[in-house]
Amino acid sequence: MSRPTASAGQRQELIDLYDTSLPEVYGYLLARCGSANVAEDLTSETFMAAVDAVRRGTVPELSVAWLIGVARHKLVDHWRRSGRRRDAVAHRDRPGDHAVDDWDVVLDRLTAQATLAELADHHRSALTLRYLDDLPVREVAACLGRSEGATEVLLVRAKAAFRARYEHRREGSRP
Amino acid sequence: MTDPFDQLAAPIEPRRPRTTFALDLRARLIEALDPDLDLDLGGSAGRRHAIPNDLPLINPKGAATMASTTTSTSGTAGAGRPYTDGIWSVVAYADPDAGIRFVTDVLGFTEQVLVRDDSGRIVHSEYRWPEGGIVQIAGTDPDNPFAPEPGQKGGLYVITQRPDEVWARCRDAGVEVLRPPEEPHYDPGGMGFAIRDPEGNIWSFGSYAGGSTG
Repeated sequence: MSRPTASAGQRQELIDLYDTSLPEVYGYLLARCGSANVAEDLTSETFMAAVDAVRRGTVPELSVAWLIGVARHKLVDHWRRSGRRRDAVAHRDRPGDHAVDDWDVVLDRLTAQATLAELADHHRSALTLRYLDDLPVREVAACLGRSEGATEVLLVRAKAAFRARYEHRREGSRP
Repeated sequence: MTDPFDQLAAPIEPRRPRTTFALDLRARLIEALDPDLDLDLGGSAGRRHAIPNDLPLINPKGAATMASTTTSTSGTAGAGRPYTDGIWSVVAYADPDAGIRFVTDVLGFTEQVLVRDDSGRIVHSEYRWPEGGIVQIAGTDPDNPFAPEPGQKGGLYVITQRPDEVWARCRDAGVEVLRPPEEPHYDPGGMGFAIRDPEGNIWSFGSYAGGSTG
């Protein structure tokens, strides 16, 4: 049995979407992963997944927003794959010492980016989806495959870990 | 109190990836969308191809007698819609085969399409700059208004983020230097240089990628 194939119309629609949306998909990924090589790999994965979805007829609406959603999953998967290497870093975070309810700070963008890149993969994913992408908790939970309650808890811990690392970096950078 | 984490908001800023990456991925998508479709996506060097009817021939008189076509690199997009820059330029050589060797071996263009007639005369060619753009190499033919005289006045500016590599090849080939590598005042931190090729065509290379109107 042959694989399902896309109709000529769908095929053209996806190629047209590729031509118009490639800079947005790549720009979305590049700003979040910080590496052109990784951004290219994830961009490829995103569009190949789109081809697969079109062939299977599982695309609700072929649009840039839908593609960004696919890219978001690829990004989270990428961080999850590399997560094992980050465990050692994660254990050094002591979230209990850094509650963020009273944190009033003007974030330095570069330091914030470097801090995010240092976090454990699930913390980085949660903060990226909730704050960089501005998704509601419900959608963050769906993307991470967790319940909303578990996601709320994860976000609290991720914010605490971020604050600890951010302040550590700022202290380290003082003359 | 506002949430300091709201400052992390990062609306999408579109960024263009490398042209070669964009072309390769586009070709892979087309292939994956329908593996049975026999699209003209290029392939191994020297592969024979049907000649599309709508090629912008640089020697219209040769169209009736086209004999051989070679293509290489996966630059041509499917369905006859190339994903490329909006302007192609013709560069003429009295010895076009030597010209082709120069633009590929020294300058670093890659052959995409080369069509000859029975006598070996070039009737169409496409040489792709890896970072985007195409030049068409032509022989000189007094009857062909599209083929400029060799040693054309003016010249070509080629954008590259690797001007040092192109310069190294030009230097090793001993080409005539019109302007040695330098940091242009209009491109702080950049690099550019200019050469004259063996038949007098002028080529300028640089990292400067255009000004902004904003």
